Amino acid sequence: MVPRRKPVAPCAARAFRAVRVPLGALRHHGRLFRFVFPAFCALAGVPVILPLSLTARAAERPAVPAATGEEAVPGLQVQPEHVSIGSDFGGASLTVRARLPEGFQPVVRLRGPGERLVLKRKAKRAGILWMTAGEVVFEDLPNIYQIMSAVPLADLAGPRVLSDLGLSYESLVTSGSPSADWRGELIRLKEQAGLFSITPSGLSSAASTARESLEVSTGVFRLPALTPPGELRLELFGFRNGEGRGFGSAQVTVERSGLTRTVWLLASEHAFLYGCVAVLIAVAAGVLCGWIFQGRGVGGH
Amino acid sequence: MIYLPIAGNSVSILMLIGLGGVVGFLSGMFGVGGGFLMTPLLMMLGIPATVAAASDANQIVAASASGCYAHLRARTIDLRMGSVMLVGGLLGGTLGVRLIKILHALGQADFAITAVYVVMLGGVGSYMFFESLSALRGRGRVPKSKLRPSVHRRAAEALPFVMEFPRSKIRVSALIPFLLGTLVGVLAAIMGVGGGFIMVPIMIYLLRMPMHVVVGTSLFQIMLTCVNVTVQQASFNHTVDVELALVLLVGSVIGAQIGVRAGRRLKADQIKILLAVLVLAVMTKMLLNLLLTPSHLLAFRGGH
Repeated sequence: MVPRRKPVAPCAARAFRAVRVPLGALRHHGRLFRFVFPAFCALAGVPVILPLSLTARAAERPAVPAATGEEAVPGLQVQPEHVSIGSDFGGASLTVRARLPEGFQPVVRLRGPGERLVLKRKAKRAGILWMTAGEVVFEDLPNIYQIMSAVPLADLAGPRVLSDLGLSYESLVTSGSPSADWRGELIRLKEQAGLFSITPSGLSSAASTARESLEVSTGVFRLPALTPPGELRLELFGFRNGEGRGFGSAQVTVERSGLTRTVWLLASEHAFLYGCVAVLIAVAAGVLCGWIFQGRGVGGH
Repeated sequence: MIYLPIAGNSVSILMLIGLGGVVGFLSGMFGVGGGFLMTPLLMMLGIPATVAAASDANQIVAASASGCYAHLRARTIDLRMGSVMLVGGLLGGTLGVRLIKILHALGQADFAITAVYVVMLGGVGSYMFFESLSALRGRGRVPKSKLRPSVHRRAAEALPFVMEFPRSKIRVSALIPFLLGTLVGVLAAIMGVGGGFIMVPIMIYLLRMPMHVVVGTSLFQIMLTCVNVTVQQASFNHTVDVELALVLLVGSVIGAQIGVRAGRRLKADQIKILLAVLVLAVMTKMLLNLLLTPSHLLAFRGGH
């Protein structure tokens, strides 16, 4: 048995990794996948497995919107709809599923709440030192702004159309505004933080479960760890012949939870009490640590 | 990864424990030194300078609590001296916290913290470097204590408010420990350091306190100064991250234990040169941050 499996195992493993198939789901099928699948792999090669395993993933995660009743109308679904920032939060992925009538190209926009953003402007002072020289204020800028499409936006419509729909960085900071000169720097900063992005290849067409003429595409938005809590709004646009229009939207709530929420609430609303608690915890932890190690240290002497 | 609620970002928990461990190791090995590396290294991990400094003060409370307790029981704290310093420390800490708040409003807090660090690390680093270099060459530590008294001591004796400190067996103007405490308090607020690396030499060489009460007294003063700084930072600047402080503590306690053991075996002066080089390297990195054209001409303000 073992020698028979050996030559095909690396190939299968590579294929699994490439499409991120949860191996746990496959193990469920036990014997079938352990023997038939690798053998099939060896015969058919990677290209055949890709779509196969994608359906395997879809079957494993029924949570990814697949309500049959809604499949018939265009619209946007997102999973999960609730992101909690707990102590182990390190960012999150939002899987979107867009359904459009045939012939429309999909674009999905993720937008966080608008806020007044004040940035420090650095400049050289006293000839050598880089320090803050002033502020640049952006009124009403979304804290997160990500766009995904299947093809480059420029191929879908002209800049005017995109800007009117709010599908460009230019639409965020209009050229007339006083801080327009800093738009490029702002975008660079936000993109590096993972908060802003425009990904032309983010959406890919997925196997449609439907019997009708809707085209389904999916994509994954990545929220960085420093995503601020709030309501994120996702909107689906469809483009055809240089024109675009909205086809539905979805909401995602980002909230602090558990210890993170407790600490944050205490620190922001009862700051003095929080300070005292922080000190008490520190003293207790310090004495405890000292006690543990002192016991050992004395024993060693 | 651990999400830090006040810093508003997530950092690898292993990295934090490792960082605490390295700093604790250095502290354990040299007694003082190492604490002042914590804030700059945290800043390099992407934690805002103000949060790093404030949480570090919180961590120092924890780290000095057990030592302080031990010294209290061993009666090796000059409480009178410590109290005078503490008055200064409380004042300095409170001042420092307000200063940070003002600087933050001006948008210069990060710049100020970095600049103060460059100066302090540069001074401490080069002092340590040359001291251990001369020690390695076999000249020992003689020069320092012989050179100082002439000018400094005469000035010190001329000051008013002379007080008796029975436990340290010295008579000295209360202004010196008071001002020293104030300086350390300001530094604790701005840099998040205990200030032991300034306080201990001054207590030994300028105040001429007996060695056995120096460490206890400085720990006593540092701990209570940092208690004050922690509460003030939490109240006014909302920059204390207690989770960050605790993770660092775990690392530093373990590191300190290893450091103490390693310090007994290794030749201190050789290690000290390495520490000095490390301090100077961190200083250089921070200095470059001030001198080189930043990759971004805009920056987030940090905090809220």
